[in-house]
Amino acid sequence: MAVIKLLSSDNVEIPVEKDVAERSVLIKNMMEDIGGHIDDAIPIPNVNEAVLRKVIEWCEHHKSDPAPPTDEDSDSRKKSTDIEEWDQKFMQVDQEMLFEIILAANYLDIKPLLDVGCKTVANMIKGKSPEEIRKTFNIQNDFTPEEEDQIRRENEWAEDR
Amino acid sequence: MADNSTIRSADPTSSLTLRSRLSTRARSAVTRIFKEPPPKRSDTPINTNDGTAPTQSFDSPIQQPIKNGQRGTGKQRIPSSLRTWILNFRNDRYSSYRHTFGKPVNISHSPSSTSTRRNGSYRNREKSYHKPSHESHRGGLGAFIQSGLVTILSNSTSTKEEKPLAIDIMTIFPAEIVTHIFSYLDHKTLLSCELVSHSWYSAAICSQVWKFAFENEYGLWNKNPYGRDWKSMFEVKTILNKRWRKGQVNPTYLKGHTDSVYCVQFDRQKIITGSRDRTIRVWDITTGYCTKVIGAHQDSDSLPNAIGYHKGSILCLQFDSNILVTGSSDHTCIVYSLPSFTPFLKLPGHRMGVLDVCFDNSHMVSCSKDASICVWDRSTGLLLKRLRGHEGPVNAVQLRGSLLASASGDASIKIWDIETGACTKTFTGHTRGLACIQLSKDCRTIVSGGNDQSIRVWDVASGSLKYEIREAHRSLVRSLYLDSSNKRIISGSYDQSVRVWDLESGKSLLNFPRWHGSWILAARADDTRIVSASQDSQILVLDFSSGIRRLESMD
Repeated sequence: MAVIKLLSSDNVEIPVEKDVAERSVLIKNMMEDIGGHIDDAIPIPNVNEAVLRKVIEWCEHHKSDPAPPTDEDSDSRKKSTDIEEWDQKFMQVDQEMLFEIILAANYLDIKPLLDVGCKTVANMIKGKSPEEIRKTFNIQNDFTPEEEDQIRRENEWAEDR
Repeated sequence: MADNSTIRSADPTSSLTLRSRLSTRARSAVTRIFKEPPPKRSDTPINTNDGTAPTQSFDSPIQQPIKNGQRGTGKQRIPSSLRTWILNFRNDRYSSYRHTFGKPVNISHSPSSTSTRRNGSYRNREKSYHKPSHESHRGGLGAFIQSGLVTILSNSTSTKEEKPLAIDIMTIFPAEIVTHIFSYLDHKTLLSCELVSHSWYSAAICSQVWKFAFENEYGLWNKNPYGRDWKSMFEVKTILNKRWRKGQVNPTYLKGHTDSVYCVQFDRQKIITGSRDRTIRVWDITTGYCTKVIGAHQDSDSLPNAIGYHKGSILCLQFDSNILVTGSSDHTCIVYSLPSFTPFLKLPGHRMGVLDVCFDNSHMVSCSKDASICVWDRSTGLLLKRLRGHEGPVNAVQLRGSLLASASGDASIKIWDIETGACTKTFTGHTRGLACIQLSKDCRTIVSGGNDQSIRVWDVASGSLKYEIREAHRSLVRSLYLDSSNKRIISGSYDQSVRVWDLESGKSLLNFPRWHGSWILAARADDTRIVSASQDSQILVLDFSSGIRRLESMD
């Protein structure tokens, strides 16, 4: 099994199986462009060691998943926020790590991981009141009462009556 | 609170990257703030709920690189004028953020396009923290840097106690990721998000996000999906559904015909009706005025050409944007070109009254009391085929794709292949003659009604009865309309009522009894209206959409 090396932003070399690393479309395309094998470590300048290891862990576990559908219809893009059990556990990290994983998945172009990450954040928001959301993400309410009223009035149509 | 402004430095135990990124961003923003003089604005700070200005400070990683164990040193209070300015600055940023967000966000995931784009955007972001004064060409990125500061500020006002770092996602994610996250949210949560903060508001009203909410709630949208205001559409659809549930309608009667109105069809602009008074009338659907009368009662010198008008009742009609086809008790069909309504084809071929017509892009189909069905070439009007098989008058036909469904007074339903003219299926089960039939858009379901007062729903593939609504009406079920996208059946009956049924369950949804003074001869519906025509020579428009703002977003 071919092994390649990835170099994290904090200069740590991490060996990883080629087909695991190629869950990342960015790396896959890069490997194709340079024609197969590379001895030097591939620099991943935006991802630090801890995050990169976490991402690789995910790729390891999902290395034999079928390719995601390339079809872009909303049909294929299931809007369910269901997350499989292993991924749920995988995503049980602090916000900082979660967000880093999402940014890394976006950068490395690992769509299924990006999906899982975004679903996880969506689940942190779902069904919450504005105040609960503010607490969850440490946000200050920067609306005036008038502004709030205006938004509420605008959205009165959604009330169940 | 105001005097007790403690600055929370990095949580020493956690990974430093994101925070130090934020700090770097904060530094960038601050550098920029000092470079550019605060704009002269008299706006008041937007968060003065308790009367005290919010206490805010920021990390200054230039002076104090964050290291494990170091906390709370090297911090400055922001001068209050700067604070005010920052708040204004935030205000400004929302408009720029909104501006960015207002554009259609490309959230395509096709591997071919994404890798370079994502890659690019990440690089831009990277670049932008190192070049703070560089005016980012992506509004979102500029916002990104500035909001980093805001996070630091709001973090620093929070309590001293160690709790897991909570980060506003608006400050760290580019718009495409935020859109991705929001695309998993239902509409109630999106409305909640609007009230979180200005930046959340901007992200949550993004049309792209609402497209997902819309299609999740109301199914895929078949019309052109580009450039739409999905939030307004969601609103309109929600209100319409509520009104359909409750039967909240604004009724209008259209008067003008002097005898029974046999047939009706409408679109967003107009209603076209045909009557026993031998005229066709065109009505403006918004004003209710009759804008055109086509037919025999007109002066003879207004006859446009040799084709002329029907010499009998107008029993049936169908129109699209180019043609109108009518069938008459005078045994003929006439084809008119729209919008002039000039007759240009006459279709003679039946030996008795033409009871129903339909057409698609290449065929026109008519059925008659003479028990036959004629298939005509749409452009030339040549008779292509005559379909025989029914043993009684053929009262209704509908064409979808290659399938033609017909219903007859002989109580049977037949399915024909329009290309070969072969009858491929016959459904029996109704105990008396059939008056009306509808084929669903996906051609899987047929709905039929007739003299036995029941409505039956059939599975086309197996030919079996899905269910029957017994005693749907207390008299002949004269007219059926199947609204496939809303899964509603609209029925009109000689018992003078119009009823609405759920296609899936057959449950009665709405009943409008005796809104007409006599038999109902035709009823049709769309998302917004039910229009019915009666022997009482009136047309009833039941409008579910009156007064709904932004209704045009659905067009």
